Amino acid sequence: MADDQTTDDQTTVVADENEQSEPQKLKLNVEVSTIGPCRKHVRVTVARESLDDIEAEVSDRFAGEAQVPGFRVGHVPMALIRKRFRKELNEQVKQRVLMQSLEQLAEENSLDPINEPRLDLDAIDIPEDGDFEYEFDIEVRPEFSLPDYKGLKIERPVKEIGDDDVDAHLAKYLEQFGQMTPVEEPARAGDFVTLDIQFEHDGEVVNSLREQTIRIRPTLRFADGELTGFDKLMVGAKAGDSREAKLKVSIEADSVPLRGADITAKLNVLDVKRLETRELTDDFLARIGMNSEEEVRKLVRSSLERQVKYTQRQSCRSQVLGQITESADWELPEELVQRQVQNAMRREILEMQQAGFGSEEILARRNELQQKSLTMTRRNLKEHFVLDRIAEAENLAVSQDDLNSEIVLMAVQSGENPRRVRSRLQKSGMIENLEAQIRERKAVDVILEHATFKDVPMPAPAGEDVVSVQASICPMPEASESEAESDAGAED
Amino acid sequence: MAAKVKTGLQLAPHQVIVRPLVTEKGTHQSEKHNAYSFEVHPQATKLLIRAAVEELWNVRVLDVRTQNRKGKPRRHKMSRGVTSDWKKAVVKLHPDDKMAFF
Repeated sequence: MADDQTTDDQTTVVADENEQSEPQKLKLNVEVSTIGPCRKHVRVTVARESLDDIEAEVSDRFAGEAQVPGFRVGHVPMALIRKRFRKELNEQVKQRVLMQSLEQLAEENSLDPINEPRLDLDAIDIPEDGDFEYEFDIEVRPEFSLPDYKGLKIERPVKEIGDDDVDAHLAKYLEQFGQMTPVEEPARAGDFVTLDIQFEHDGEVVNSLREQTIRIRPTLRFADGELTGFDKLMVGAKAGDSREAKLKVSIEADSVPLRGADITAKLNVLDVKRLETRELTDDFLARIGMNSEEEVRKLVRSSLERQVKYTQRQSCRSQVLGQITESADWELPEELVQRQVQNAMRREILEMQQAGFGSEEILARRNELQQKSLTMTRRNLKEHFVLDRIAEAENLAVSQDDLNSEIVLMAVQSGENPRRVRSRLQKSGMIENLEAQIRERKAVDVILEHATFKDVPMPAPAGEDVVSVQASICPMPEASESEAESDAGAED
Repeated sequence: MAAKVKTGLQLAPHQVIVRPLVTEKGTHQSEKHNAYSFEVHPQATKLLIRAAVEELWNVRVLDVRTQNRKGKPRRHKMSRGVTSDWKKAVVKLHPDDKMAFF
């Protein structure tokens, strides 16, 4: 009997606690009006009754804790508390009312905001009597009908890895172990030339590169520009010859003053080398840790297959994004776009200022920049919104495991401790971005699952006729010359 | 006969009443007995206190009781001291009259 009673009592206590923890609903009157694309104006009126309830609750809590001389804690009369702590009480009531009403607002109305509403807390005051009213503007997610994302027609580039491909790749692989021997004959396509290069602009030397060993291919690419017809220029050259070529600096070069400038490159050939490739002998196989030629070919084949898969995935993804945003002609929250663009612009303008540009020149370039970043930002945001909606429609959630495995992967790639990667992400607030990224990736996967694929032959990989040098035409602002030299000679 | 000339300390009402005492005990007395406590001038008499309260708050006083409170000994490191003596008055009001200190 006694036991029964205790249980009953306990249940009552638990029920009471639950009631206390669940705050009472406020009596709200909400008016929402649309004031622009993705912008709403919200006017909230909180009834006096609700305000009084909250006020009583807050002062009760104060009364239990307030320390006033002449009174024991918890024995201070309520009237005194109200008079003495009026400012603090008002502040707390305001906070509670705003928080609770905004939460309730979000639950009861499907506003779907993008960011926090901008409320000037100092300007809002709870009146002594009468209802409490406040208003704010908010940016909401764009309203659009979800494009039909199931059954998209995707062209999947396919390629059968044949023996020819394996041979070609193997030959390329063996080139890495080949030996370069200087030759006296004129250079042929595919040979290596060691060059001293001097870049001139309007008769003035802007930069010079020393002893760059470069393979002769149709295009020579620098970090900030490229020289086409490099093979025609160099074929037939011998040590001691010199050649001259014209090229243009890219408009996205790091060096702002020289963007788009015409440059004359003077190339002095120091020597010509030819590559002698290795044969797959037993000695060589042992050196690379393989047992037989068959094993090497198998490894090459699997690496090629992986590359094909990667290209397939990339191509499918870009097609999916292209198709789902194709029909997206709805308006974006302009403020959000502007904010993103402004960030990009600010970086660019700062760079120009550091390079010593006058305000007129900066202004002239400003519009061009804005247009460029506007288009990019709009496309990215649209992709984000559509994928987000798809993820919502498909109930895709990012679990802690997903996040962990992604962080571990990032850590492995950068050779860091996963814990450190995680803490860095958390500190910079990037962890939410990562979550959004994973969610978007999942959405793309869902689309791909339901897509119909049409196999098309994979285009030949580009880059065979381009040779890149990790040095730039314009002088690097920070990198020293010796650094530029040591970076030379990498191939695409 | 010549008029009687007042000599000695002359206290205005606001000098008689130093401050109302807002304490737990005082609040209790005011609720239960309609009696309010004050710190008063050490030389204020019950009559002066009655007159001052009646004038300042516009109420009817039924009774005034006073207490002379001794200052408390205080010590800071090596120096010894004592807080000032002070006078407390408990003023009982007519049941229809009320005061609000807060």
